[in-house]
Amino acid sequence: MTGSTYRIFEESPNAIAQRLMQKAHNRDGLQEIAAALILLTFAGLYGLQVVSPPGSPVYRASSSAVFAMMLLLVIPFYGLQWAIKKVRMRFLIGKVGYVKLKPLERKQLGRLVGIALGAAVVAAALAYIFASRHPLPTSSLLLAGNGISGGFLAAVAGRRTRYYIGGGLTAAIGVLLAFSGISPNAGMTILYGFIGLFCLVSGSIALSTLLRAPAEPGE
Amino acid sequence: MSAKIQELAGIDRIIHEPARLMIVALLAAVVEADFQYLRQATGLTQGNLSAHLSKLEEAGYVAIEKTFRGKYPLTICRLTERGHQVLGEYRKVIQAAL
Repeated sequence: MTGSTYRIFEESPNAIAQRLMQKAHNRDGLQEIAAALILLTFAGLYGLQVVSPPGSPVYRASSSAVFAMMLLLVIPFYGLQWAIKKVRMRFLIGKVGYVKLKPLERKQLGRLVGIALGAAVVAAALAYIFASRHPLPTSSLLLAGNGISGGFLAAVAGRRTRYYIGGGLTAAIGVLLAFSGISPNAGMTILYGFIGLFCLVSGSIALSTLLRAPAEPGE
Repeated sequence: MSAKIQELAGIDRIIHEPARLMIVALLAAVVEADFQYLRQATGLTQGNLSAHLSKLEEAGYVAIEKTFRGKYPLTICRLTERGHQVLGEYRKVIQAAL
């Protein structure tokens, strides 16, 4: 409780709950490992487009797979969430405990969609303003946008030091790649590859630290 | 405004304690959680959490059920209807006064 007491009366009970739940949720590193699987798949598919000649069957298959994954991202996302829940209940319950979350209400869902749409509009406006002053190809703007938004999301969603570091690095690499003049596919391979590896390493360290910690007795 | 500030004097002291407020806020946001999860999320020690949960249970704000999940013993905690009601009132008083 140290460090959190002073904030307790500055926040609404809902904000307190969300902050505490997010911290507990990301403690075992499983979310990062799951994110790493998706990101490294993207990096691999973009990488195939870098090494194979445009128009070749491999190139076409990998670009189709990227497109399909973007459209159907919700399937691996929910699939991995289901798997995480099962792993936690089967193997980690003694370490992370048990919680039954409330189903997402329509109002909350609407708010989340609203925030996402608002963020997309702001990002597009910022990209437009930036592009009018510094003429950059759209692909470079996409790289920077991916890096900045990915980094921001990681920091907001994780609320732990390793997420802040990863988020900052992701944003910086996205911007650097945008100005490097690298091809879009190579840029995406490096960006997603980096974030994926970072997530995999930090998630694995968090998980192994948790597993090595001595079991705490229940009540 | 002064009347609203005066309402603070009658605030529920059981829920106003920072550690118990954390527990109640957390339980209000979920259906149920076990002792271990609450300990991880709040960062309270085992003895501290146990004492606070007992006080909340005595007040009728939290219901505690001991059960098993496979071989693992679970102490499941839920916020009662009274707990939800008291938290709602607490939220209103604090928001009006600050």
